[in-house]
Amino acid sequence: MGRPDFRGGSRGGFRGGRGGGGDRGGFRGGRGGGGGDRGGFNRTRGGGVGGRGAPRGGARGGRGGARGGMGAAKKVVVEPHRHAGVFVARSKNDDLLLTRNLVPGDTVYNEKKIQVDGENGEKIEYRVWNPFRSKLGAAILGGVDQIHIKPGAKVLYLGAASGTTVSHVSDIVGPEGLVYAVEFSHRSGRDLINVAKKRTNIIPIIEDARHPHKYRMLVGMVDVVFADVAQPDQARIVALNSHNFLKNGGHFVISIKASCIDSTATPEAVFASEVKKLQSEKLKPKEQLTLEPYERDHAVVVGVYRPIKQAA
Amino acid sequence: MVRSSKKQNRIKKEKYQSVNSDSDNDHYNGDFDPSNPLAGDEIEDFNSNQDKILFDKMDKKSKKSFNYSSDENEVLAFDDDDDSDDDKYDEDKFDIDDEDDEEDKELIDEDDELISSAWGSKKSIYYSGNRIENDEDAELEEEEARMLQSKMMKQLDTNDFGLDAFKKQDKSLKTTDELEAKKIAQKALGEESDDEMEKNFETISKNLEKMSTKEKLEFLRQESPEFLELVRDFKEKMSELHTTLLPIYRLIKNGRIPSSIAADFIMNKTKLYLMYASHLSLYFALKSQRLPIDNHPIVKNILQFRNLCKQIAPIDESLNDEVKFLIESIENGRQLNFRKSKQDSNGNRAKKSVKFSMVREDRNRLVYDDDVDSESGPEMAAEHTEIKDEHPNADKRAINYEIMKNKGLTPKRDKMYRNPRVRNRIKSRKALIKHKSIVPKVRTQDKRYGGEATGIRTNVVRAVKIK
Repeated sequence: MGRPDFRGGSRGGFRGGRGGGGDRGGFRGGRGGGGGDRGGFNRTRGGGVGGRGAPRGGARGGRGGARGGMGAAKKVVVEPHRHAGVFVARSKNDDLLLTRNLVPGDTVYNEKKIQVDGENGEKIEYRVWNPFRSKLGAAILGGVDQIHIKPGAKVLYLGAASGTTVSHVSDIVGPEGLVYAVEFSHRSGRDLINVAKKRTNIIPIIEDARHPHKYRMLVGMVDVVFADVAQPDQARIVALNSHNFLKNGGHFVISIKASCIDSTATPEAVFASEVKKLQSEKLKPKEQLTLEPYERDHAVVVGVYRPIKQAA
Repeated sequence: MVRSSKKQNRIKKEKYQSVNSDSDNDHYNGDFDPSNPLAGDEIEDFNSNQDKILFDKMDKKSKKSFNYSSDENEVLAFDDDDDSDDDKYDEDKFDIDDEDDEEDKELIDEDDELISSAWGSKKSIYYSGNRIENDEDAELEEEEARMLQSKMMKQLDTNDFGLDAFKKQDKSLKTTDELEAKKIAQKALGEESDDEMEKNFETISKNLEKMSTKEKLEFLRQESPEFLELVRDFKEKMSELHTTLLPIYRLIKNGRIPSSIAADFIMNKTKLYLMYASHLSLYFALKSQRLPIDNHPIVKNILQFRNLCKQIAPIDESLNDEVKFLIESIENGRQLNFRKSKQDSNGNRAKKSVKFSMVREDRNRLVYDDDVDSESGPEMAAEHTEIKDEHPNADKRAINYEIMKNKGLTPKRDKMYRNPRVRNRIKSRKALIKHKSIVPKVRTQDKRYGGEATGIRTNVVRAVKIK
């Protein structure tokens, strides 16, 4: 029960700590360079998406007419996906996977944006989710049954990298939810932190996910653990973090890269062995999905941790 | 070893040559001394040696075409081991030649003048020599050509024309009995008739007139043994036609006998006999004019008709009673009454109900009913086929494809299964196509991501459930 309070506190503390910690200060210096990058990024965005004209007149109910960001106005219909917080834009030629931009006007990795007039005349901005850059996006497009990441959910994201997927997850969970983004690499951690600057529901943690006790003070109880660490002991890492932070009956979503675990065995065998390992750690895999055509020899396994008995 | 053997060979060759030349010289000298007065001269010797060598070569080239009667050639044709032997042989040979000359000198002279001996056997002699430069040459050539032609005509025998060749072959096959018959025939024709065919038909006919009837018959039998048999057959068939077939045929034509299988049979048989008879009469006509008919197509046709007659014989026999009965009734002028035979299955013949029925065996009961009932139709057909099957002489059917292939009960298989390698290839290709639809091929993002061209289906769940 104390956790939410602690988290709220920790959040503030985190911010404060970041400003005050000597170590962090060094880190911050590096970030200044990233800030320069960001300016460039903004300019690029202005050039690429700057053709945005006046909003289209014909907004249709909840969906509303939207325009593509490229050049002339395109007739696009945005509709919600089966998964809450995810949207689909349907146009004449292409369909796009979208999330509602938590920070309108901002892009993370030079993705396209789509602006739609809302019911009350306010503008709703969506960001295009590129499945080639996001395993979770690929899994959604591939037809995964449940992602368990939904508005208001608290997610522990292991292997956050530059924060591309993390930004979309933060869009999904929305201002009510939280994303603890763990990344060990300082270089990509820099980008992650830049993302987290704009998005207040992201808590970046530059730590090794093998040692959850190092960041146990930052992370509260979570609903979902997402792991994209691409390490041979991936199952163990996920199990450790789950034991530490995942609530009973919480869910995990793991992306498995077969060649990172055993490059000699067939991908199917690797996935099977990983599933076995998870099962031995009280993680109960429920479904599995390969990520073709976006990734080669990748699988996403979705499951539940310490499932709550129905009878009880 | 090799070298030494080569040396030996060389020595051997030299020796051989020396021996050859020595013996030849000796021989030459010995033989030509009387005819050649300059034999002792060394130069002459050398020259004659050269000549001899040339002769030798020519001899080797064409021993048979060159026919030198001189003793020099004779000597060269034989071994030079024994000179005395050769001399003897020469004498003998000359003796023989003399005898031959005495016998038919003229013939030999003619032969010399004949085309082959006069011109030679080479092709080049006959061709490309056609250059006539003056009138004298042209006249000479014309004369020569005329002479040659006349010679050729003389050479031709009368035997070269006509059918004599066949006859000679026949004669060679004849037995002693037939030879006797031939002698009689020769007597009749005049003794010279056999060899020389200058005798024409008139003389033959004269000779025939001279012959007694017995001799004539003998001659006929010898010349064409089948003739009498054919005559007998012709008479038989004609009598049958007159007595039985044609009356019934007429009745059927008039419609007084309703059509049935038996009626058809009678019709066909009548036609067959008529055809046969007409062919035979043509044959007789040819024979009477003594025209050659050995290769005439009519002979073949007659044979075929005879075979057909033999084939229908068994059916004929079985129908005999009914036919007899019919004829009798026709002769007596009785009314023919063809009843519907359904009620009258017992068939009282005395009551003039004609029922063509016969019993060969129990299972092959043939009912030639006159009524064409719908019920009896198929039955009759079945019976008819049975008859056909029973024919021993009927042409055998060729075996069908199924029998020929002899595959038994093997099921029909796809062409794919013939070659395992190809089968695996096709299987793999199909599996790949199937796999592609299940697991889409990994694609790389070439340009900036523009969306899913194939659309997004939000309601489809492709994930595999894990239990």
